Amino acid sequence: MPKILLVDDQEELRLLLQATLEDADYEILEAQSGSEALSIARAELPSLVVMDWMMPGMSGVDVVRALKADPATRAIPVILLTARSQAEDRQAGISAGASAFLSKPFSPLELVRQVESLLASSQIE
Amino acid sequence: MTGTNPFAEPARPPLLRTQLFRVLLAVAAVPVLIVSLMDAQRSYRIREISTAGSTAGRASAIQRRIDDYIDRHTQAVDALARIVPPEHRRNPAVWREAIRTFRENYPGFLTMLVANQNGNVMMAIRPDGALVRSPGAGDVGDREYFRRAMQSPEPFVSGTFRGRGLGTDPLVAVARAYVDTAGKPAGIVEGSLDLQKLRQFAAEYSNRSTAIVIVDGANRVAYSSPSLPFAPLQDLSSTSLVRRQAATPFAEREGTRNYIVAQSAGGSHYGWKVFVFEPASNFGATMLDWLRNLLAGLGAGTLLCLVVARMAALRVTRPLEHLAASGHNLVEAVAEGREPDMRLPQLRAGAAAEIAELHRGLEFMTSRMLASHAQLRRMNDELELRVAQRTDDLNRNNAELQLAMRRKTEAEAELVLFQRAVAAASEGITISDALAPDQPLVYVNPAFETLTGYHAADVLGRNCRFLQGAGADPAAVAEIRGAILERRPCVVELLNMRKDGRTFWNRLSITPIHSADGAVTHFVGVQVDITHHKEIEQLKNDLISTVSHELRTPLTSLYGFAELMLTRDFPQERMRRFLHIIHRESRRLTELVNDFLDLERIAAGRERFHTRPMAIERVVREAAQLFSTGDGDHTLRLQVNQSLPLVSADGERVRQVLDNLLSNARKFSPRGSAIELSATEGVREVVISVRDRGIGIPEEALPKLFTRFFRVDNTATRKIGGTGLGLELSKRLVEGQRGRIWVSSRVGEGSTFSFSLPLAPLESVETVEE
Repeated sequence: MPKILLVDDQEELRLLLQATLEDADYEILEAQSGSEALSIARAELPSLVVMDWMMPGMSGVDVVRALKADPATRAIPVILLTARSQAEDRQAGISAGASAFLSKPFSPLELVRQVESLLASSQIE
Repeated sequence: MTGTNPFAEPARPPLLRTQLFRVLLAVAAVPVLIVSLMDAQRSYRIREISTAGSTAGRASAIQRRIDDYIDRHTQAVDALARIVPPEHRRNPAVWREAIRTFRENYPGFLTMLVANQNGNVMMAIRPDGALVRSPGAGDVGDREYFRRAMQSPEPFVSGTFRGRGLGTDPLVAVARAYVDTAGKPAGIVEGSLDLQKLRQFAAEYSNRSTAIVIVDGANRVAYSSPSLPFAPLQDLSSTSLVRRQAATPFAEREGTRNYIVAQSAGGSHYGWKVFVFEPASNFGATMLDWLRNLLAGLGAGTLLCLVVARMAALRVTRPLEHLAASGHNLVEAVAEGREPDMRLPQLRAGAAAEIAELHRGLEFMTSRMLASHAQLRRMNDELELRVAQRTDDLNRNNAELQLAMRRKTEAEAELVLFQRAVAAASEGITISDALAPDQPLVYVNPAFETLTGYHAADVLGRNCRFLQGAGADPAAVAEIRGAILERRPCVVELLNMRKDGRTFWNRLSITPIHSADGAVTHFVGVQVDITHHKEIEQLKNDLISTVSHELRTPLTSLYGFAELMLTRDFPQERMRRFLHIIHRESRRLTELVNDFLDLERIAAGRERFHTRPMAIERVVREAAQLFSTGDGDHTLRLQVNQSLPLVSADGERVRQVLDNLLSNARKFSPRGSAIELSATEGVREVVISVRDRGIGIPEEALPKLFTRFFRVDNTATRKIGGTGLGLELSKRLVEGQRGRIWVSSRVGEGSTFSFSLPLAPLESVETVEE
């Protein structure tokens, strides 16, 4: 059963992510901040991380960089949720190593599709 | 004493003919003066004698007129006394009729009366013919004229006296007795004579300045001209005027004037005398005659002198003057370099020997001068020709020199203008030498010095890259380098560093300068400080991204939960949870939009504040009440001073601020803790404070606390909702009411937000908002 780590500092967004993904057969992990996410990811090695970009302290991009810098966590795909829609912001995220983006507000169904597609491609590898 | 003027021309002696004229005038005028003086004396005498004669004649003529006058009226009284028949002489009506007839024919009578033998007046008739006395009503028995008339059958003429009846003027009475049938005197008839007639007689024989005095037989004044100091009836018997008995006119002084006085010749029946006074000033006319003669004589003398002087001039002085003028002309002409007029005036035939000699001498001198003048003229002409040639050469050289100088001056002026323009430019301008290694700076303008903080002396000779600090964009630096290498212009924006280490955004444009042969000799750099633009741009970007983020976060919840509920089935309980979130986030979104719009309206000055004097206590208590009912988790301690003064505020806005501060306090303090709300009087203001025991605010965050979307960035604050606009909105609302807002805080201990409201002006206390 794939493990999915959900990271957001806002409770209701974590609730939304959880409610979106709970139907499928995933194990859901949650973190409230970047640093918490990093330690959980290292400990649990989730199959996928869904993470808010804008967080106090370590931002989503900071976490992505840290994950990519660690060989143990390098392969974990990350979906970044962002309120920023500008192309240069996406560029910064891609170059940091994020696998996909979702602009807020996003469609929960779209998130489900992305998660499934990313999990599928990582299983092929 | 005035000093002599050194600049005055020396006095020229008068011309000869002028001198001659003066001597002649003296010689002619003196005899004229003597003759005319003698003539004046003679004519004065003649005038005096003739005047005296005529004056005496007039005096006698007047006296004859007076005698005549009295004679005629005496005869009239005589006739009247006899004309009434004796048997009617007691009948007043007859008398009255008779008197009226006589009065009409003899206008000299004033009053006429008839009296009986006792002197009782039977009747009297006034000058106007009115009957003034009835029979027996008066008495003239004591009058001299009555007594004298009764004693003699002849008419009696009195001297002058003052009558009793009419007026006060002197008069003369003429009386005659009338007889009864027995031939005895039975009474008198009397007529008083009007002496005003004397004035008329006098006027006939005198002019305006002549004065006349007439005295009766007793030397009493019967008439006197007003200009003489004699009163009517004055007795002149003892005066020299009467006593002199002069047969010829004599001089007399009366009052302030001198007169020639003549007396009537005598022979009057009544002994009256007339004196005529002729003023001595009437002889002044004689003096005028004399003056006229004198002037005529002098005029004739002067004319004579002029003729003689003219003749002398023609003969002697005119030739001399001509010769002198010719000499003068000659000298002047030579002095001024003119061709002198060498013609001497023709010598008059019969001129004096001395003049002929002078003429000859002058002719000789003239011919010699002409010769030397001609020679001088030749030399002068040669000299002038040479000078003219030299002057031409000089002028030509001078013109060339001036042209060159003007061009140089113009070029210099142009250069100065460019220098000044570059120096005055607000952009930093630099010039670098493109040919020297490493392109050193050769010029920087004052604006560059101001912009970068470097002095020209510090930087000339160096490459401009000292401005590039650590933060300079490598791409921009590379662009500059490439442009310099390829000798092409470029414009870049890069972060530069001032001398003091502060950075600024520089929009740098570099342009190559080509020499006449096309080679690039210099680069000109223009630096514009665009830091402010960059900051504004940054602010704008930040705002956009913040607003975007703040809007997207609640929208994400709305979108996400709504879609989930639409596409899947959830248990009732979870659905309610989701709807709750949707509801809360919608409200937050609404608040955000409202706050944002409020803020923009206030910032744009479109929001109106309705401040008025009001008691703040009630607003504070209401806010406390509202807070307590809405929140059971915190205890609110209210501390409001009694009798706070009125403030000038907008109640609705104060409520808004209070709600905001209380809501913040609740959000950032733990459940069960106390929140204090207080209102106290400060200096000319009331201070309202909200104090919480919450997490507090780090010191470095305090200055930015009241700015838009600023949030103390930590996990605790992220959990707490809010628009991020509340404090800025509160600040604007307080400042709109002319108050202040501030905060004091310590991390872990809590925060106190305070704001002040100004006291209401004293005079407006009556209009308290209730």
